[in-house]
Amino acid sequence: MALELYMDLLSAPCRAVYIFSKKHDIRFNFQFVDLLKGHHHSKEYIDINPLRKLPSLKDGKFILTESVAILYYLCRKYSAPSHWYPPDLHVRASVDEFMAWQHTAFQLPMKKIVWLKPMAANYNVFLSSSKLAEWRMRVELNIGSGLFKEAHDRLMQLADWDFSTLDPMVTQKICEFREKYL
Amino acid sequence: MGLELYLNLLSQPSRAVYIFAKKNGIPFELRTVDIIKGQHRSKEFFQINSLQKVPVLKDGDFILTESSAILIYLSCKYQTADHWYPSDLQARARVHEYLGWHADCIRGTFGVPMWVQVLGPLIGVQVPEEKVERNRTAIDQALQWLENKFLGDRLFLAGQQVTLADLMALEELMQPVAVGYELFKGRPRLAAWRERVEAFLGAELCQEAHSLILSILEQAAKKTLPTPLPEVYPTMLLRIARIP
Repeated sequence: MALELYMDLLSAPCRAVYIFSKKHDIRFNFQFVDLLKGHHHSKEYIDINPLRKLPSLKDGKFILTESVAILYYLCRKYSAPSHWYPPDLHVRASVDEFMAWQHTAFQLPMKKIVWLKPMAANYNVFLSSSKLAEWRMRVELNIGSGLFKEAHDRLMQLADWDFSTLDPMVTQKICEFREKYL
Repeated sequence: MGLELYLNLLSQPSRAVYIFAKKNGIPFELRTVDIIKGQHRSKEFFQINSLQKVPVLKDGDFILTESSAILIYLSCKYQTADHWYPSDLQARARVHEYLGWHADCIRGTFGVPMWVQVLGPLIGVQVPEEKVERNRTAIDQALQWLENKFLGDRLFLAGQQVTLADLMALEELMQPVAVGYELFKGRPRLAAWRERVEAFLGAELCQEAHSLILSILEQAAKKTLPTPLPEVYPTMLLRIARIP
């Protein structure tokens, strides 16, 4: 039974898992869960993850959610090169530190940019810092531009998407999100 | 200089680190940072952690922030019992799975009642009732997930033994409990879990770690809480403004 990864590449944590898996030639079935069509609320997906979030991993009978947990799991199970999650106590701790910090410092603000500024997929956060821009290039080069582009394709097209076809449940959730944070 | 832990027992993640170190007999110098007064905003503390938060670990020249990273670091360096952070691939994955969800759905949410009832009023700010209600709903929802998805019919949140997950969760839950939220009412499985965790940690250690937070309402009523310094007002106001 092959590894199953339930993802939609609109989601940043999904892209991280996707890129990592492809980069290390990990064989998996890409179970596309279309966020814009509300498929994460389907009965089939709720059976996999009742929290209705992406990504999820299914390895035989073992189901795992949370991108950080999934990345660590894949890293170890498929013996990724050690630089990804170094064994040195201090260096590993620094990775753990960033992974913890990015939840509150990153994910929510990034979500707000995408959903609260009208579909601001063209908002370039790298314009404000050359250091960040350089870092981004290093990461992209390391991953490989082809894989990088492939992973970001769906997101880049978001601005051109016809939002009148959005699933009503999804529209509702976005409105609730806006209400909370605007 | 040995291990130093910069903490404040009013802070949920600080308590998790404190309890873990004490339970496992890890020797450390306690450096209390008065977060109500605003010591975390001082120039001195900025040298320790430019993000101006607690807890922080300092081990020689090595400085580490983020409670989950600190807990993992301590468990590895001091080779604590395997159950805390199991070496088994899937068991460890469950701990990380909980910690990820905790960062999104517990952290930030369970601290709000303290801001509403104690910290906001301390600087003369009243949080709108609409936000208080929204937070109550979020807390209820999170507790439902905690009980149904993570605990289920297991003894603890990530398996059949205590892990770092249980410690992080317990300390977050203590925060609204300290201001009178009856989180465990009508949730017998969660209540039983809490008793098991506290029994494992030991009554004495729990008392030591929780006495400050559990006396917060009394201190507020008697007006014996420290007065926040002016430089800490902006961050407090910002934190309150960010309550959804």
